[in-house]
Amino acid sequence: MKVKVISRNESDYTRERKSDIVKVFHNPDPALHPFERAREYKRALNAVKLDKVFAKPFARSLSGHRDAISCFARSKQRLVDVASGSCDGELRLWDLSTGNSRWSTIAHTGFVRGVTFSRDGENLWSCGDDKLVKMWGRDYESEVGEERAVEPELTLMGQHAFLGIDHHWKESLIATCGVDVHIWDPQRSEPLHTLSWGSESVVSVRFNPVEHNVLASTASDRSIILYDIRTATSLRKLVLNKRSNRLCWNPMEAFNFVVANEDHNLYTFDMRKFDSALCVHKDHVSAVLDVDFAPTGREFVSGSYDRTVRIFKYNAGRSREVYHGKRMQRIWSVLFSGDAKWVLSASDDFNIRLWKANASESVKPLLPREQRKLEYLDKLKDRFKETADVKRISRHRHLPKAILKATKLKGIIKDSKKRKENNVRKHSKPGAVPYVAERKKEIVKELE
Amino acid sequence: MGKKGNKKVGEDVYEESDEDEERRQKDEKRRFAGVDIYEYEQPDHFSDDEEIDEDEAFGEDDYDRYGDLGGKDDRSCKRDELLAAFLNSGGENYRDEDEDEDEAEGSDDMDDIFNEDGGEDEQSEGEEEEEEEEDDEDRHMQLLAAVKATKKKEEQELSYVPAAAEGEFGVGTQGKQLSLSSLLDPLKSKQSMKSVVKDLEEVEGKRAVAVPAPTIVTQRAMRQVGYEDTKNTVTHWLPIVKKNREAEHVSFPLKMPTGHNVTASSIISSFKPQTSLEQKIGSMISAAGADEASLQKSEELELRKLSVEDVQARQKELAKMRSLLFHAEIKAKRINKIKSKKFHKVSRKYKEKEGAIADKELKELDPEAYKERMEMLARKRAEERLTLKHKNTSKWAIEEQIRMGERLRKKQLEAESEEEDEEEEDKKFLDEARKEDVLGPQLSQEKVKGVMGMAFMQRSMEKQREEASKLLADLNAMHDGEDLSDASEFEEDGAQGMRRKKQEENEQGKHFEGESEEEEEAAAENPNKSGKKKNKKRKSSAGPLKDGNTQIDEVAFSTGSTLVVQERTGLKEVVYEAKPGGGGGGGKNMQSAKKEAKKESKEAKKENNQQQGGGKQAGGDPSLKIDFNDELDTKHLNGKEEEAAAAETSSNPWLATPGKAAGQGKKKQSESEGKEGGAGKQENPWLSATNASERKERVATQDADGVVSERMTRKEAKRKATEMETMLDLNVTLGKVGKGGGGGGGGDRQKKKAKGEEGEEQEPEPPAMLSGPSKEQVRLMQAAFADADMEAEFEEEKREIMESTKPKLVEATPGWGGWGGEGVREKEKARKVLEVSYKKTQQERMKKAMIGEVPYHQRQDKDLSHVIISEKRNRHAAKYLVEKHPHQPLGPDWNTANMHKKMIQKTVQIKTGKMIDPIALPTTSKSKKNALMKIASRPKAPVRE
Repeated sequence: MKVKVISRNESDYTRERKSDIVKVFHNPDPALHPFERAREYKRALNAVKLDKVFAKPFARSLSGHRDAISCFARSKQRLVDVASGSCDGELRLWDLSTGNSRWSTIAHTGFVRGVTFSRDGENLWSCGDDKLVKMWGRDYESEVGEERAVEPELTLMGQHAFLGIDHHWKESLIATCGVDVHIWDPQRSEPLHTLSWGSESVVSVRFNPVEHNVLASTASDRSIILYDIRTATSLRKLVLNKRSNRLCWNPMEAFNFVVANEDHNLYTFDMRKFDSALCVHKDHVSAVLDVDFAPTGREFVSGSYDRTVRIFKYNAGRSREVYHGKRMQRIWSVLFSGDAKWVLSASDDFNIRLWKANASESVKPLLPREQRKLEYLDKLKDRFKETADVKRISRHRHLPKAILKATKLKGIIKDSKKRKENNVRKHSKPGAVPYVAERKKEIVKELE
Repeated sequence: MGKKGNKKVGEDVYEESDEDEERRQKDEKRRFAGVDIYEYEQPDHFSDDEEIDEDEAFGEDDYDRYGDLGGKDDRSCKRDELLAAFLNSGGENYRDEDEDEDEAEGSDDMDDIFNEDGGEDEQSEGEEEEEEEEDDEDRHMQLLAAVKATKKKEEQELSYVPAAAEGEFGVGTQGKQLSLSSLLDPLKSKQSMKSVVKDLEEVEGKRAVAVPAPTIVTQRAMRQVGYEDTKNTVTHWLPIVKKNREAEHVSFPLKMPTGHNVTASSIISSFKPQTSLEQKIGSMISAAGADEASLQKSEELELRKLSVEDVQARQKELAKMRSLLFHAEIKAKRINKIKSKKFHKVSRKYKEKEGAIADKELKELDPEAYKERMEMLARKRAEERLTLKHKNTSKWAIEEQIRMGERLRKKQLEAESEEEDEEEEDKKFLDEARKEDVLGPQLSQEKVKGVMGMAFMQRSMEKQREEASKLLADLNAMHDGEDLSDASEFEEDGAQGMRRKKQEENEQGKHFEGESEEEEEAAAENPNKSGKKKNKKRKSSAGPLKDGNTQIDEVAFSTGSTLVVQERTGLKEVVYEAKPGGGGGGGKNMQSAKKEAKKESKEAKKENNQQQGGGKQAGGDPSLKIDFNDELDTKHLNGKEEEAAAAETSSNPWLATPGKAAGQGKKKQSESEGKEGGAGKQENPWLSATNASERKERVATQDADGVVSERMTRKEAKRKATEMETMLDLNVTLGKVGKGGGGGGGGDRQKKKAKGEEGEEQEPEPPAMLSGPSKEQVRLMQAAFADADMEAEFEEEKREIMESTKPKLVEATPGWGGWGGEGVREKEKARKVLEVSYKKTQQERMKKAMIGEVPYHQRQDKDLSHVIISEKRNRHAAKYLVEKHPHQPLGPDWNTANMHKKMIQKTVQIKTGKMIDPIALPTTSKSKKNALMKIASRPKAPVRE
């Protein structure tokens, strides 16, 4: 009788030198590897399921504030530097790697309305209800290691309360907003330029990270205004149906920006074409209060009054991710980290939360083989994303009851409105009730 | 002003607009002339104001004053005006523009009295008038008239505008305006005031400082301009954004490419020794003084030793050399570049010329070598022709190839459809008949198709035929005697002549002209060999050859239907053209055929001159001649009639229709035909082809007709109707031709059928007329459908098709769908289940649908008994359809390691722990736009690392 046994020779698998290729005994005959499609589908399905298993996005909470956090900003140089201002006037500089605050101070009387880092990351600026703009140093440690008293290095006085602040991406210029938009040179006590258009208060201002001379603001008169600091003029005004709370430029696309609107939606606009939005991002069920682009320009994070943080792809109408916590309150401010791997949210509950941008991604450094495996699975997920099960599982998110209900209610309201409009259309003269594109619906007018 | 405007322009029909104009003028007055007071003194205007139109209510002034409080659309046009004014003036006065506009509008010399310029003009006019009083009477009068007119107008104006009241706020001017110059006049004489006067005059010369546009307008203009500018600036990023978005793989942080290209020199210049080895080598080089810096230094030192002049001279020389080199290089480049078609053409011609000269010289110097060379060239040419190097290059060649292909295809089909041996013989008869009357079938076939079948076309054809026949008759008249004398010879040997034609056909040349010529030459040589060589062809040509006066030189064919006969009578050259069928393709090619024929005839002339002596033809191409003779010899030696018959059957192949006659033309093996050797068969195909009347003269016997019809009856039952019709018509034509056979050369000869097997069907029918179905046709039709039970056949076919598409009931596998095992009673009959093949996957179904295999219940003719609707599509396409959707697996099990790695590469790769900066230009380049364009135009995505 003949007995077949598996025999392996060690020398077949041993490399003589380290640079030698690893010998793999693999028979590429397709007959030996059948059902490739079925197998890959199964792998994709399993990967999607495992994603759900490993989806633990919440990383850390930064606590220390004694009031709701109204604003925060990240450094443009250091990944770990984040500064936050709260409603009681306290300003804190955080170290994300440790989760501790480096220093804190009562910066303003009343709200700290805005905070921003200078381009070099060595200073940070804050403004508040007390009509003051203050510059702070990053380090308040003496050489001995003892802490110095945290004092503003510079204070600028304005005539009105400030509602927002942003630093120029190249030069040492500050833009503040309130009644008007002011451009400040830290060397001067008076603003360089005052840019105004209309009498309503301007709630946010952002410099364009690519075309550095362009900046945009949103105002409480529902307008979005563009400015150019070379000519120190405003350029164009866009009026929407509802107020835009915050604006963020796409750091990879010089002309595109997204606004967080009161009407629960976010709108992406091309500053060259204001007649229509590029994209309407829906999913929030309450006013969106803040938005921040990932530095890759491929997605952005938004925080809403509905207590959720959502992550959208830059060209997607629906969010790809939603984060919420049991104790997380209204989100005032959100941030994407400098390496696009993390998301921060500052909320009414005095806490800053650190989330992973990809919920199931491992934080640990991966072995090359692990890395390859994950990449392979990612590709498989992408390939089979339209198959029913993969789609269902990957899209499924657990939502708080309130939000789920609100979503459903919104759906009902929308359907009802649509029905009504259709009825009106049906009983009107043809063409009397025109179809208006969703992207144009919210645009009231564009002013020159 | 308003009135004048009305008078002058006559276009402003709307009072309203006039009022508007007025108001505008007044507004201006109020603003700029400081005569506000008039307004208050003129209550009429106030009352006017009350009736302001709604559109006017928020006027320009209000707009200037209150900005954009009003509606946007309302003021848009005015705003545009203002904006345009502002932008155009570039800081100049607003009002200037308005004035300009006024002038442009046509209020020419009529100036508003409140217009400063106008006032001045008038004044100066007045002064001029006084000065030039003595100059010219006419001019003076003209001026006076003009001044009067102006004054009139002025008065009118004054009467219109209320006089200023003298009072504490104003001094009456009596209609004249107070100007600075008038005030200065008394001061001019005073020396002390001279400088002041000068300054003031300067001031006076200047226009008023521009009134700035309202802030709201300037700001809007600024915004618009700024927006456009910024828009342009940001748009420069568009290509990069696009590229970034479309990139297959992006790795963050981005690494923007550097602005400059990396070259060898740039690497060298920026090279700094870093490793220990490099440093060591570097230090050694520098120690030896061989590095760049020290070399330069030493050179400088050398230069210092020389005098300034020397150095200059040296530098000059160097510069000169450099520039020379540079120019030489440029020139060489340019010359290298010029390689146009024309250049080639010119150079080729030049070479040819050179070659010709060389040949000439060679001929003189060394005739032997020249001869050799000529032979070599001739050989080359012949080789080229033999290998048919240019076979497919000309239009003619391609056409001929197409035709030949068609012929062959037809032949193949026919070969397939050929069944019994007994029929074959019938076919031979048919072939013969066709060959005898080559143009006949062609004509008839064309008649069937489309336009050719119409009555008027046929009439015209008839006419053409008649004309052609006349031509031929004339031709024949020239050498009738010979024909008659040769008649007996033709009778016997006509078949031999045909054989040559077969040979020609076998050669398959695209043009037949050349060959025909050769043939003729060959034929000319043959007569003394044997009388049999005189043939149908020489019926016309032999005569002329004998007397040496007239000769049909060439026959050129464009297509089957067009042919050109060239007759040479002495020095005269006559070209006859005959379009036998009025054929479709022939008409087009006629011209070219004619040309061709002419050319050929010229060549032939030359050749004849060379080779022909005293009206007698010398041999043409020796090889051809030999071949030909050989063939003939063997033929004669054997005396086999079948060969002759074969030759005959192949007679005049190019005149036959490409479809039928030509295809069948090659069929030989009729043994009995040779015996008959009717004159009809022996007719000269060239002539017969050219002339319809002669065709008629040829004999197509009733017997032959009978054969045809018989064959048809057999065939028709199996063949398609269209083909049958063609055949029938052919038959008709043949009959007609047979009837029409007149007293031409052997035209009255009747063919007897060798094998009388079908004699009973071959009753001599009177030939049908060209149009209208003959009795014969009717009979044929009846015969064709006599025994075919078409309906039953159809029903059977339909039933079969429907059955084949129905799902079948098959016996189920035992135990399938029920209980099995021991003790279970088997049912008497196995259950029948509908056939469901597991193989019938989605793909298979799709494939079936693609080729049009529709299942029973979906068939369109399911309920239609009288029709079969075939939904089959191109089933040949089915083999290109995939059975399975292609799926390229990504996994390492199915791919090589490298491929796998490539395939799983992430679209967006982000490096952990690296700050990603916004997209930015790498260098501060002068033109941002250019830099961006440059980056965007790089083949690689700017984002790859």
